[in-house]
Amino acid sequence: MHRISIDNNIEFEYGLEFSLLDSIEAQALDIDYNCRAGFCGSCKATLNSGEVELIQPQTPVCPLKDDEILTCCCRPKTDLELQFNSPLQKMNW
Amino acid sequence: MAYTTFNKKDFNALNEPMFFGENVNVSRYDQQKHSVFENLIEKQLSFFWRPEEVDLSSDRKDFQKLPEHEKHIFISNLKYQTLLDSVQGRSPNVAFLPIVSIPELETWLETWSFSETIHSRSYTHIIRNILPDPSVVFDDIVGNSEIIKRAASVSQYYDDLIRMTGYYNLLGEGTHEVNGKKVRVDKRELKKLLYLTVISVNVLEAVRFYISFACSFAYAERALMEGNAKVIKLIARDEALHLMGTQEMIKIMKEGKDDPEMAEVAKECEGQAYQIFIDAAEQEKEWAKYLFKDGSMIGLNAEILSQYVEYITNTRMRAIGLKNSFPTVTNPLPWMNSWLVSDSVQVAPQEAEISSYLVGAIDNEVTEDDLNDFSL
Repeated sequence: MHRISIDNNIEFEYGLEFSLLDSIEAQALDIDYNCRAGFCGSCKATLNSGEVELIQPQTPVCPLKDDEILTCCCRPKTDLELQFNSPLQKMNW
Repeated sequence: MAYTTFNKKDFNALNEPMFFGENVNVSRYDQQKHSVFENLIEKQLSFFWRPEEVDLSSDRKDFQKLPEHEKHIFISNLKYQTLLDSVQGRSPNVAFLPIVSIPELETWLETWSFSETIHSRSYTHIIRNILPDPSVVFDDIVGNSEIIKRAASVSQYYDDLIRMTGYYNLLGEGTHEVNGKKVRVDKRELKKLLYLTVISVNVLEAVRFYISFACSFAYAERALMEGNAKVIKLIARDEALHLMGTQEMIKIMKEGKDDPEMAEVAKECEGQAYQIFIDAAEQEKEWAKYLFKDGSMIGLNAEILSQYVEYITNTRMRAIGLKNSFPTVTNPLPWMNSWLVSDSVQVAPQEAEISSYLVGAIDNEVTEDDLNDFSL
């Protein structure tokens, strides 16, 4: 299964969740989201390496840069290296 | 300074702050100070829908078969949503338009409010379809103490801001005597009121609405009231845009780029903003108890809904830079997510149900030791 590495310090295996966003949430990481339908842009990440496939259309309100993806709209096709604007934290209580 | 419907001064709107600058004059959209609001308008227009597009004929039959306590949950929920959209269909216009200073934000406010009126119309559509006499629902909204309690908290900040900006636009800054009472109008105080109002609107749309959505989708997860869920899905799509609008306003205010005083105000009000979220979450938990007072429904009860209140409140607080305040960190209602994805995703309903069930129910950490207590 594909490995997902985030901000160079978190690594886990994609567990066949519906979307990349779901798989990141399954790791209890504090990823931002809002619409889950490809338009708000809250869950966007920079794809530093790897390939993703779309599971729903990305129609973001604010345009994405060439190397940016919406994690709610895709799932991994290969191993991925992702980076977020503000680094994700593991949520521990 | 008195409000004018067309400001005759020659000024560059690109140099104006979002609020409390010049009154707007030319509605031009070829240039934008904050292009996000223009993009939100475009997106909202592309989302246009009418409640009559959704067929509710099977909902009528479903509703008649619901046990009494589930009817109570469904109707109370609709009453609450009707209240929230009654407020939202007018208040952004009345409260923010007299003080807005950039045309794309002005038009976003109007587009936003208009889409809320579609939501209100859809509640009438739903209620007319499931009940012979819709008045029994609508008339109870102002007579139901649980609903009225919430009305006070959702409208309080709006009302204060509207009253004070009224004085500001009519009389200007300073101390004035109005109906024998002294009223002090101070721009910094007005900005505080504005900031807290935007926070409370964000809470309304980003937290309060989602509690109702959870209930509507919970019926549809059992293949009941599915027409209603389709309408709510369209409403949820709009609300995701609206809450993005208030989140963006809050971010711009906090950064203080277009009004440095607003950043100071935001800092001063951080404690109050935090408290608005906490208070709203506590009220929503109380509401959950009221909804389920006569019994729970499959997949949802007061406790799980309260955990969802905590989870969604945490999420929304983080989005505007406030720290988590509740212990619930993961989504206790993971099946909610499949109701939020785009309509273009074709998921067989039975498949969605099964996978959502698994997401919530399976513990991958189970070992043989966990079964020690069992004996044959």
